[in-house]
Amino acid sequence: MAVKLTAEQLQSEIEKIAMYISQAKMEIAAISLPDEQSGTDKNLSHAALELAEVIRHTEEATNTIMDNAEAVMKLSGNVSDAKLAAKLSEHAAGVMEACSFQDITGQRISKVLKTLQQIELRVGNLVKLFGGTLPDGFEVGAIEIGSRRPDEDLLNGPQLGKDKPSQEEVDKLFKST
Amino acid sequence: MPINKNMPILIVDDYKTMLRIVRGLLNQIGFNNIDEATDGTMAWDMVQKKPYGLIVSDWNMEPMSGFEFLKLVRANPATRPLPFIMVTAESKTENIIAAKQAGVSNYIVKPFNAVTLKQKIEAVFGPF
Repeated sequence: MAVKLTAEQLQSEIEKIAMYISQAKMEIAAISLPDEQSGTDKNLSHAALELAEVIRHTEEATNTIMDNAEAVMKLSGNVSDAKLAAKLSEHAAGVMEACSFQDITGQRISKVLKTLQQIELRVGNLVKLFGGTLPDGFEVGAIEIGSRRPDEDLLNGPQLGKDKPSQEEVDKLFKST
Repeated sequence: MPINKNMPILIVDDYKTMLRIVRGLLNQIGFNNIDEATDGTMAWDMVQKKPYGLIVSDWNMEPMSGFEFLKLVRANPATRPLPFIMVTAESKTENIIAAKQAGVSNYIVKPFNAVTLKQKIEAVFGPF
């Protein structure tokens, strides 16, 4: 059923749309601005910095854990009880192996970081498209289309737990290929 | 192929913690002659200068990935016979197939342990 609007109603609706676009422009600009200009730390630039810090801190902590595991391994050589020495060495090696979490989590966080950077890029382009002004020093590059690296289509990063095959499944596939 | 535990091994990974872990695991199973590279470009430079007995490489590295490095190794007659084990978090079917077709000697999915690493080296060189 068609609704007939009066000229006043139509003008009012257009004004609401204009206000909505104006509000959207401000909100979009706010998430892409740095802290000092947006007045908040809840923006894309800050989120990317926080994630980079997570990677740095886990790397530092992992190195400390590995230093200590290696020290235990060395000390186990001085233990006179051979069985106890072997157990100590085995557990220290287990700690070292478990430290590979840093690589896996680092890759996952890097994936999220790249996604955030892409969102930031697109939001920046959207602000420009709306005719908004970007703050000084805020560069909006061109959106890249196509592969940057020859094997980019094969770079997926770590799979989610439910999709990740076991080493046995990988071996089976490797042998059958 | 008989194994020489003193053979030089090149390990390649862009994560320093991972290089340290792989080195530690190799030490644990008796290998101590180990060099490190942090991406395919650096690794390719190194294999042309030194006769390595084994390469253990990650896939996802920049600027040159482990996969591109593998293809270079296999394309060069001098390096073609080099055993090359891929150690990676890339575990999709297409990754395993692509690596096998490119000539990888074995494929390990991260995270892994010394037992798995030893098994894959044995699959290339025979039991030790």
